[in-house]
Amino acid sequence: MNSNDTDDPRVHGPPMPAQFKDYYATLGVSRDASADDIKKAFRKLARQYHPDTAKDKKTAEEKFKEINEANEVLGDPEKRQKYDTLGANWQEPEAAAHEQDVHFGGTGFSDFFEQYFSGGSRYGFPQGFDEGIPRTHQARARRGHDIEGDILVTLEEAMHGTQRPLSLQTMNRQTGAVNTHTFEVRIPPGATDGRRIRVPGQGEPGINGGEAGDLYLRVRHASHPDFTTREADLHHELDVAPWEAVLGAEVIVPTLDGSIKLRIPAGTEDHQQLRVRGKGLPKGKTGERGDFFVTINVVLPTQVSDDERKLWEQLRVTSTFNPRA
Amino acid sequence: MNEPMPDASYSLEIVSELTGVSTQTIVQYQEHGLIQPSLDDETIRALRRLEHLRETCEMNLAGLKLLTQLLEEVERLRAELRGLR
Repeated sequence: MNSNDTDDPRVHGPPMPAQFKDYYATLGVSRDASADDIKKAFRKLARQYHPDTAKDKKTAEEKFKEINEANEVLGDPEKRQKYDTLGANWQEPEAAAHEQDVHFGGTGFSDFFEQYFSGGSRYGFPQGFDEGIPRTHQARARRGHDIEGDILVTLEEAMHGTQRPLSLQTMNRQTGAVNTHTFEVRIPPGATDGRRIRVPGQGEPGINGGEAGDLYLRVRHASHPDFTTREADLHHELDVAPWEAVLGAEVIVPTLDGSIKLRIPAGTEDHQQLRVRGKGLPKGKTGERGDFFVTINVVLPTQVSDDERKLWEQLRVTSTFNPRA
Repeated sequence: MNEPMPDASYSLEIVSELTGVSTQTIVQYQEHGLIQPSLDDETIRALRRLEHLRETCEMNLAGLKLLTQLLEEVERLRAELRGLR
């Protein structure tokens, strides 16, 4: 669509090895942290730096992206293993330079991530399976390869849809030619995590006058401190006091479009899910929306005053409830 | 440039044109479960992948079928793992 910007230094050569990112330091965990440690550390930081709730919004946005990316790598066992191995060999930038000949810019991930962990590939296959020399018809016009990549999208963007500028640089391994183009991608409202968006004509250029291939971008929802998504449904974890669960209560909970009052019925159990219809992401074309699920975590006080202790003791004597019956 | 509407669906002829796969082969792939019945962006992607494999790995129908099943399972497992995070 848009032609190359010839002032773009990347037009003149393959990408320089990107600056190493210390994901463990970003999340403040040790290198042998458990998956659970990482999850907890990430949630805490994501809440702290989420653009909606952070104090210093300018630095928060960058930091939030970093935290998300660190979680994307360390929270995925396969990627984490690759990252740990990579760290050990970091002194060899020559090896790094040829790692990736499909290079994205503007996806929301850093150059480092793009170089080693992104879905940037031809047809979604790892390198070595993507380039073949056709045995015959070398002179005929051929369509360019399809390129696949990931794009990081916030839940707010997924909710309302958005338009994002992107750049893609590909290197033809046979000819060494580097091609860069920039374009805009439309993310439709309700784009679910994992959904592929086809951007026609933005893949690799065609050969011998053939058409360009297509670009397939995989939507990746940026993690949110309060919500996770499953298809068009939104999920939220809510901590409640034991009396709120036993006696019932009305609690304010956040959603992607404002807070709502949620009624917790009396006799609600730990891990129980409450459903609020129509408060999830948009789905389909009819204005329909997914649902909002609240998972109840009954949390107990670990320290009680003397008066409270007396009441609990009274409850112990009075109650006939036996969880081990 | 024209962007397809999300969830756009195409005719068999258009898909054949966009992917370079004959209509007979597309129908054959559908019958063997290599691609889903609906003809949308995912189908185009799958067909181009299959064509690429056929050319670079010289894979036959049986091979393509097995590979498709394995890739689908990997994708499903990955999505499950992501959901658990």
